[in-house]
Amino acid sequence: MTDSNINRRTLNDDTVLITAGWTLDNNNAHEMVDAIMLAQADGYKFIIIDMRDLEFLSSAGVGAILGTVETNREAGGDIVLCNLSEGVQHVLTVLDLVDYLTIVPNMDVAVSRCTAKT
Amino acid sequence: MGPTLTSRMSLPKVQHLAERQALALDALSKLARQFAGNPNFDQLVHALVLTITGQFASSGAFVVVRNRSEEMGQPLLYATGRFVNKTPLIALGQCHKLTTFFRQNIAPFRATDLVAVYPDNDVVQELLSCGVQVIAPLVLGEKLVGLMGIGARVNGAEYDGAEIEFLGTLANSVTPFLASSILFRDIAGLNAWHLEILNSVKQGVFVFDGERRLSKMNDAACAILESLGPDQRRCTTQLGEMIERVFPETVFPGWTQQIEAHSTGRRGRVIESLVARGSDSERIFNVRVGEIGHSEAAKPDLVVTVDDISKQKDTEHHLFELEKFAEKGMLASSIGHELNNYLGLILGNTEVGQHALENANLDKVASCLAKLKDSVGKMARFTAGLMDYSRMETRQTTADLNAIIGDVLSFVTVHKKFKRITVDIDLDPTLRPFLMDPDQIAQLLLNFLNNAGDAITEARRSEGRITVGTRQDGRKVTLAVSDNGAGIPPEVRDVLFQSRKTTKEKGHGFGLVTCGKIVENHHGRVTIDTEVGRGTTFTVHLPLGPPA
Repeated sequence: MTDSNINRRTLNDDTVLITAGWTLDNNNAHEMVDAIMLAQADGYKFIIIDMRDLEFLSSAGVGAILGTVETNREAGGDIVLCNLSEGVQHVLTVLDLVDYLTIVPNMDVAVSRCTAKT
Repeated sequence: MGPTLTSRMSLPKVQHLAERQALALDALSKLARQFAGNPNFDQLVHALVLTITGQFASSGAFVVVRNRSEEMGQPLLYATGRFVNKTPLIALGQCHKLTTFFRQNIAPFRATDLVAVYPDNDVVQELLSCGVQVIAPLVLGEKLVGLMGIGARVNGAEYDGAEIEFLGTLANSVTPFLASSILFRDIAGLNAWHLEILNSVKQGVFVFDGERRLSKMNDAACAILESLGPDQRRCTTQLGEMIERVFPETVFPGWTQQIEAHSTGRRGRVIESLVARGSDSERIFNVRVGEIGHSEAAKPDLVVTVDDISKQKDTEHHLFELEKFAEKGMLASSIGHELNNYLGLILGNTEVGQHALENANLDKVASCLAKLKDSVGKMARFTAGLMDYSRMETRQTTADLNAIIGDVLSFVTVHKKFKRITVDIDLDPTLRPFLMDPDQIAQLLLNFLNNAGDAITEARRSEGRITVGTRQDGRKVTLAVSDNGAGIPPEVRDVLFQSRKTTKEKGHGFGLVTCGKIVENHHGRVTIDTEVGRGTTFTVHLPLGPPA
């Protein structure tokens, strides 16, 4: 994937998959916020963000997730990040967020994590 | 080279802070680029609060900014996380005490420290209840542009001094962007406002820059181009085009040259009735050309205001046709009026002839029959077109004016209208025959006599009096008809021969229009001496032709 588009796909009644593009920064962080908030408004407790194509995560991209994750958690759900590249993981490490955010290696784990919490 | 994955615990705290700052600086440079590329205020502030939220791993961040570049209106709140929809934060930008405080203390403050300064301030208490941890003022010069705040860190750790200082650095860095963006937003708003004004104008307004490229136009201008353009292109594609492409010669013949020729100054000049030829119609425009933005450095802009007057022209044409039609109607009425006069003559001669026959005065009968024949002949010539006053041709012949007067009076005075009116005759015996159209002069006299009779009737005179006189003065002849009737008001007198003016209750004013035309045909003029309640004298001044 060579663009920064954000796509959404429903996995089940509680879970929606949002696929990040190759970059998530101040240019498109608001689109991620909109996508997450729309999923929340649609009643999805769990949002899996697949970051397999994400090469660059900026502070604004992090803010998009931090600013919305509490809403899912308050509803008994979560935002689960999967398929993080080393660079993206490093950013979250530097910001001291790896313990706060739910980060899993891949989609299967992400889905099972969501199913287990349901 | 990209960053390497390193265990959080293995990184020294100082390295963490340095990398965070590097991340923040990267975000800042991207914000700056974003601003330079598209200074959209809302996008910029949204990106800013998201960046602050992520950068400080915060539960939320917010920015309260003034609504406009001038300090007016309710401040705007941009927020993430826990501060979304926390409208009480708006009060932060409205509290005079706090804004004054932040203008004077531009360093970031912990909310708890602010409580120590203003322990009883409601807004400060509200900040605490919303979960605000640190507030950084956004100050540019002496202007407080807004306030930026962050909530608690998601991992529960306190913000240390270095982080708060870094928030201040961020605030100082983004403030110029924000201030400029507010200014841009104001300018954009002003532009939109101006465009709205332009769009409310029904005329098409085109603005060309010094190079004569189209820089702006209103909706009406778009509509004109779209309806007339050669390929009816969308008007937005015309922006940036040269004037000769906006007004192509095939559709707007001569427009460009005319516009350039008339572009001489601010006051503007109007080019009337320029024609534009569309594919299926031809339209007419008044075009106003004016210059704006005069400076020594650059050629002034050109404002071209285009007013479609096609409908107005259509209406004018329609009115002109109606007027012509009315003129024909008026002519018909005039002819009827004149025919009535002839009928009056015929009736008069018939009555006289009848009376003569009863008295066995055959000579008189023969005379009346001759006059009847003469009148019918005049009528025939009249109906053949003599009285078409718009095309009236005179048939000049040498005739005796005094004799014509005698003839006309001989049958007019027997009409019942004149039975109680004394007609005095004061003719110049030295008057020689001269060139004239005797039929027209007879008709002129008839009209004057009829008017005189009517004026006397209208004035209810018990002793009506009409005087008909002639005078010769060198090469000039005058024919005067006076009455002691109702007189003519001054405002009617001045336009009596110009249009259908009448003082009669049932009159239509056509008689005098015809008289005016007859006098004109004889290169003469008419003067009127009148006084309301006392009477009127019409005097016809005729040039005397060469001796017969």
